[in-house]
Amino acid sequence: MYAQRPPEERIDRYAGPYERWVFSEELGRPYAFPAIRQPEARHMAAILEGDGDPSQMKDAETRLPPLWPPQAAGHAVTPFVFRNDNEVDLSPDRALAKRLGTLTAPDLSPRVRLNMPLDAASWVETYAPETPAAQWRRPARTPKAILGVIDNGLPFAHRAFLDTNGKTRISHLWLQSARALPSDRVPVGREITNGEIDALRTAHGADERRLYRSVGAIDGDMPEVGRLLDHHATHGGHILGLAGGNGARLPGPELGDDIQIVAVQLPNTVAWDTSGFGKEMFMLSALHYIFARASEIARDCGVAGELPLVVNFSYGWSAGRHDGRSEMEAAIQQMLARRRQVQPETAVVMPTGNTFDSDMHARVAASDFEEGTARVGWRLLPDDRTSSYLEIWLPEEFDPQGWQVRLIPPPGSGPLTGTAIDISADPELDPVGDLRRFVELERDGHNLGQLSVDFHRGSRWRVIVAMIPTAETGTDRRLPSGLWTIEIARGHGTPIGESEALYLWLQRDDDPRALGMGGRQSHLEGASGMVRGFGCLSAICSAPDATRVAGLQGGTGQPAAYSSGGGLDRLSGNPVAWGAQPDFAALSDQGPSRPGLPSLGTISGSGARLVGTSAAAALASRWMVSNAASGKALQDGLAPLPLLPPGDARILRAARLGRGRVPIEL
Amino acid sequence: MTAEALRHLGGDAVPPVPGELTPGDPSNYGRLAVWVRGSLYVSEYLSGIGWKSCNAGDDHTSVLQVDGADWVTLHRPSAELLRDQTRRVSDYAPLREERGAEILSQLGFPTAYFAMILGLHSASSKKTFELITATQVAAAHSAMIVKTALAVRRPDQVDGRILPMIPTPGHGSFPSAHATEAYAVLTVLEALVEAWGSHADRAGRVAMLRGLAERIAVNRTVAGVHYPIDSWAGATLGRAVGRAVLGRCGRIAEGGASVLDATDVDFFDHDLRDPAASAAAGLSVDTQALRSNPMPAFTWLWEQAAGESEGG
Repeated sequence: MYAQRPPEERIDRYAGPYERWVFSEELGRPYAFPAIRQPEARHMAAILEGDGDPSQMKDAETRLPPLWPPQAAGHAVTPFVFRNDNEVDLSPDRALAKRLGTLTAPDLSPRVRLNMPLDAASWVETYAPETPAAQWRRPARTPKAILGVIDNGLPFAHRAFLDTNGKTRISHLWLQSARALPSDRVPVGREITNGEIDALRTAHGADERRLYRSVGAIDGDMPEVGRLLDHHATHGGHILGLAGGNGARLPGPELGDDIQIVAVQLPNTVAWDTSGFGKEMFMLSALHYIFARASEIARDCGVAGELPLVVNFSYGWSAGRHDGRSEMEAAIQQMLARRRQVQPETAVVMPTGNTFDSDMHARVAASDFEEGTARVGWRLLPDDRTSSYLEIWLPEEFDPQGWQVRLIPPPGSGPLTGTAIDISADPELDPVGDLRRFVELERDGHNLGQLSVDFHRGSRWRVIVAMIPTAETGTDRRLPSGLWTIEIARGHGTPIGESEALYLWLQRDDDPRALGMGGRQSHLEGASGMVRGFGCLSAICSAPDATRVAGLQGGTGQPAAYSSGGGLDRLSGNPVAWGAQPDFAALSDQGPSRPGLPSLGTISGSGARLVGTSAAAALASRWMVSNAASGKALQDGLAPLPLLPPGDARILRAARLGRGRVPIEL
Repeated sequence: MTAEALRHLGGDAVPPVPGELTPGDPSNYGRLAVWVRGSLYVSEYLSGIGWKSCNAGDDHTSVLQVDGADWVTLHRPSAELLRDQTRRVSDYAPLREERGAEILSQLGFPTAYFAMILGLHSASSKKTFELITATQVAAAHSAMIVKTALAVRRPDQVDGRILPMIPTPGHGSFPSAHATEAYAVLTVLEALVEAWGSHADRAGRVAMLRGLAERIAVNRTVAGVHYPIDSWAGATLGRAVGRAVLGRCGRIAEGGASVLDATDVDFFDHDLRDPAASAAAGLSVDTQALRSNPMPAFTWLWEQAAGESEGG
């Protein structure tokens, strides 16, 4: 039973549905990832939406990461971290509510979004962002372009990143979750620059794992760093190699010494949580850091203005607005637009996603309603040890007064309460920020799920259904697995227009084995044409100026089966594109019987394969930054797609592969 | 029936006086079945091996002696240290998936892994394999003596969540016999490669041998059957066993008496060789060199193996 809290301890007044779910013990916290399950978080990551300076927050030590441009204000979304040492003897959600209530200046309060807690040992005691980087050295050749890479498990000492003189091409690196030094130029974690990497390579020779241990890049006592680099291969190593490495396992073109790399290692468990919640601060601050250090490199190398910059960001989640107006997308768009004013050759390259054939997206059109209701099946598999999430997005500015969403459980689930929610604001809640409403799905007083509605960013209604695991997890709660039916009922409300639709997305819930989280992917089932791959793009790649890269299968020239596609509606029998579409494609499978692309393993000399559009994006970044260093436009030389078979619709092909392919063969 | 059918064909002459074998001559070893030589190696190695246990309050130690001298002293780890080390064992578990095949293939003596680095083959490296096996057997005997004396519980007996990926062996945890054997073989092979002098890439091969010894030891932690301190104790003991074998072979292998009073650290080959890191791990090595007495069968075996040089 979800206990009612006094107003000042209600996290749902200050924070959104995901925050309420993962921080509340009666709801999803027992199944959240380890950082959330810590007894109490005093060091937090957060973002501030809209203009403002988070340092106006009271009662907390607030820090801005290196920002670009460096002003504290004027950003669409500002990432920041804060520390609050006040003793609060309450459960985490209540303590966080209390902190948010007292922390926020009146103007800022509605716009602070909590992220993951930070490990206290990653907090830098003396944050000195203006200090010069002591061990940075000017590259021997003046840079012509910068490659940024944001990922996990980065093997930065790998020989693939050395220049022709044996010095590293990685100019700056930020390990966001590493054990902090007493003083640093980053607010949390640790910055490592090229001179230090060279010195480490000299000191440790071929023993790269010892090198990583010596700087805290392998650290069993820091859960967000952990022993990931002890593994044979990591996602980040693979991507950093494809985007910026040279060597026998890597494709051309060879990257010259005039391409410098700025890399950011996210918390290594960033892939753990299945909600997409809690990561924006790390991602946005990584982007700002790369932009800021790119400026610094240009300045210190005597380059006038800004250098061309290609940032590879092979990450995403699946549920979200998909209209370019999520917090992440708004921030990416603003940064791209601003930097392109001073340096047009600026790109943030992202994969389209790997969910095309996963049945994780559905479109419910006006014609799908019968007698005012529409139904979509949500199949939740047994033995899923993580929370599962479904999002329903209503048309922008649509007023759903009178609408309701109901859950019909699988047979044998027993008597349940809290199976329906009105899509309207809860007048009792007195929320700070977006209008919201919450209902708890319960059986015998035990929570099984949370239904929520919120008027997201004041412009679009969203319904989220969050469910506890179907597996035995050691708590006294378990969700009945099977086919749950989502019934959307418009009641006495206004119908949606003939050309409008409601869109459903599931959050990713698969299981990176290295994390041992035990997730199982649920999927949607519906009437013919309702559940579809078109429209299942990653939820953070829809910023208009982001570069979206789809995956192509070598040999056949077909889209990789998993490569997520842009939105297509069928109106009057004809497909019509909606929302962001892939810009172009790059190889992500070498062929039908050779899935994935080869790249680096963790240690110099080792190799690994990775399957997914992440690799396609990295290949595109390699090509684009190479173009930039040659003085060409970033997408110069885009190759045509293979010829269409007769009868294939061009628009379908474009929604899968965009308008061309990266001219790199493997 | 064959004898009856053929005997008459041999005639009726008096049998000849044989050419005699030379008693005590090393050339006779080559005429023996391998298992017989094995008995000789075990006998020669153990002829000077002794052990003692010392108990002073809560401090229990086990001392391995070679030819009358104390070579290795291992302090029994406290219960608290074992508890602390289980966390490190758990931290290694995510590597089980990628190291599973390797771990299963190293359940017995992982000789093939050493052979891989040195390019050994049974056709051309018979006596080198025999030397490796004799060293492994000496190391295993030594480890079992010390394990039994110290009686240390395995990780899964301390923390039920370790859930080892292979059956926990029926003997104590500290020291690790796999680490003892790997480091004993490493010590002997380092000397043999030096004696061969034939590998142009000797330094690289020796570095890989060291990396292999570390990996064999650490794989047992990944599997969930050993603490990192077991590898420290095993490597310490194994290096001593290797030197004792080399002494039996008539080789000079410098090294002093070792004492390990383990602390809560992880195990790395580099740290074993680094004086500051090994001191932090609780290992001290005396500067006075010790040497075991040479014995004939081992000396013969060394000479045979030294003649099997590979490389160029």
